[in-house]
Amino acid sequence: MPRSLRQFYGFFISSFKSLLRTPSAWVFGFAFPVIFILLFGFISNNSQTEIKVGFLNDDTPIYSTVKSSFEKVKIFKVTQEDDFDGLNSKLQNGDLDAIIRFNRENSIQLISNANKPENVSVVQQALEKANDQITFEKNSITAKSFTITNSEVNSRKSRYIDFVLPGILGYSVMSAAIFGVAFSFVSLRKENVLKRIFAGPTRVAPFILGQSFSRMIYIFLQNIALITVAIVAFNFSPRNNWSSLWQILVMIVIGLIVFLGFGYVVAGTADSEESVSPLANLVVIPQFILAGTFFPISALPDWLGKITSFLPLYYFNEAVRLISIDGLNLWDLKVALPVAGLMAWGVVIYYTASKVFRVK
Amino acid sequence: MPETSSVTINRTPKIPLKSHKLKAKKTSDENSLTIYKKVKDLKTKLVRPIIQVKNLKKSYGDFAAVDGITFDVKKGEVFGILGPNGAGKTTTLEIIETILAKTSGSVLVDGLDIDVYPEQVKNIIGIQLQSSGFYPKLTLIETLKLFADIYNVEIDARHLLESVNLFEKANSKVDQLSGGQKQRFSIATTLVSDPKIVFLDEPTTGLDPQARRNLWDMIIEMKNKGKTIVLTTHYMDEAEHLCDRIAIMDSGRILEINTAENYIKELLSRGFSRPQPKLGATLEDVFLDLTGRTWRD
Repeated sequence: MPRSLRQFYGFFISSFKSLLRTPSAWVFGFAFPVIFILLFGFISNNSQTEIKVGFLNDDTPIYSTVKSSFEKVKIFKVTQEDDFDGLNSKLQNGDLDAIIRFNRENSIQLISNANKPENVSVVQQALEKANDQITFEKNSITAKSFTITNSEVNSRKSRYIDFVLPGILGYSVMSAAIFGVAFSFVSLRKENVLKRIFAGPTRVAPFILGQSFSRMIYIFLQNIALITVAIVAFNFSPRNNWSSLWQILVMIVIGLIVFLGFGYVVAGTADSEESVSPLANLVVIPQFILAGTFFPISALPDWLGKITSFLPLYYFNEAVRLISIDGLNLWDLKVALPVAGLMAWGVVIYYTASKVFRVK
Repeated sequence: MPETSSVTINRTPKIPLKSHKLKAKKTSDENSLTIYKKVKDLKTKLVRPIIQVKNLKKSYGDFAAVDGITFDVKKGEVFGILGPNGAGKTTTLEIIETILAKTSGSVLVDGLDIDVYPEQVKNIIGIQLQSSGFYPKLTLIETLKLFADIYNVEIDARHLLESVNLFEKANSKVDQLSGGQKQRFSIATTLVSDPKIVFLDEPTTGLDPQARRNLWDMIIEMKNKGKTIVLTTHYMDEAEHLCDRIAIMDSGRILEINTAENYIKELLSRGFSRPQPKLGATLEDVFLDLTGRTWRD
């Protein structure tokens, strides 16, 4: 085996074993994120105890009958508006699960949120029941009182868990990569382990690559575990299922590579293990809070939003959300742009790392 | 290369090789050509020191840690650099080991210029640093395997651990070893590549008397295997016990290079005499006798 390859393999195995035997490596990459998932997953579930139905105001007698039949059922939260556009934009935003509109004579249009089939089927059943009720009262069993047409609409950000999971993945990847690399390397340097290793004919490339690879695989596995928890416990469902899923995994790999670079910059800059914390936090915390982990950056004031939309974590979150929620692909332009932004960060950060990184 | 180990050379180095060359040209006998080559090889090996340091300097700004030192180390000897803390011993060693850059001067290790062939030099030497850590959370065997990967050699990890009497700890983590055990393990990692030259930086500092003696035995064993050993120490008794030649170093300069015996002879000839009468033994001998010279940790 050529020497470089053998060294790469040796460092890869040693680093991986070391990671598996380090309990704290679990904390950043898995324990914290899982707590967030559970937290927001439960919040997410809670807010689904009501089904929001919007009625477009109509003066037909059937309208008030149907509407009152809905209002009698506790699970429905009924709102009424005179303007269809108002209702429609609420539906688009996910604030409504369905709109009921009365068209012409005896035709009801049901416009529903495609992301919430369980809720919509309940609405449909309720409508059918109301229909049966009216038919019964009219004593006509041959024809239904009104026809129901159903059209589906894709609305964004339907469930909070679907919005927040990409943010949590981003946080997990970023913090595990940066803290992991920074603490590990500074500790290796301080304990004179690097000195001993580089006293031998160690080549830099196999060393760095072996370490990075082992850490990448380790964090990657952690993230698969996180996604599994989200799917199993809270029914997280990316838009195009497996197609979205593998693309999310690709994004995780890209994000990992970039954030590992940040870790090396911190490792090269920090003098001791104590100074790793503030430096690493400086990189992690602003992004964690501002780059759209828990709330979209549209909630920030304009000027702040403009700045944070250049952060690498924002590019990661954007791309993963476009894939997961909107069902776009990596090669679609809308997704390729943030991915390119993320990669550009990667180039800059690795160049900086090569200037800053030291063995002593 | 054919084995000609039974050949005895009666020539003394005084005879110039030129006449020998003429003879080789005359005869077409392959055997004598091989002998000629062997003689030249031997002569070179006997004459050329395995380490040559010329006017080595290392400065940190205005401060000269190593202030122009020159010395040679012969193949197969145990060469000691003795001096107080801050003398520049570790700096000198680390420069020769190619892990620290020098300011000026030249260093040849087994004929290789350390500026031109640092990786090759690293291949043929073994290093024990004054304080070094090992990759966290790995067992002794896993650590040895990592070093085998670094040096691209095949090792018998068990045999290596046995030779430093750490075989029972093969599956323990490095962090769990005591001071003496760590030093012994350190020696084991140094020997992974079976190097020609071994550098030991203060090998017994911080160890109890038994561990020190055990380490001395291991160093002598290495010498008996034909290795060249360069060590630094601030223990006089260690230098006296182990070293063939000792360089006394202070404030970045070498004051003198000599054998222990000659040093003492010269000192006595200058009129020095010990103020106290020397007893036949010391307290250290008493301790060792009471507790037994075993591999106690």
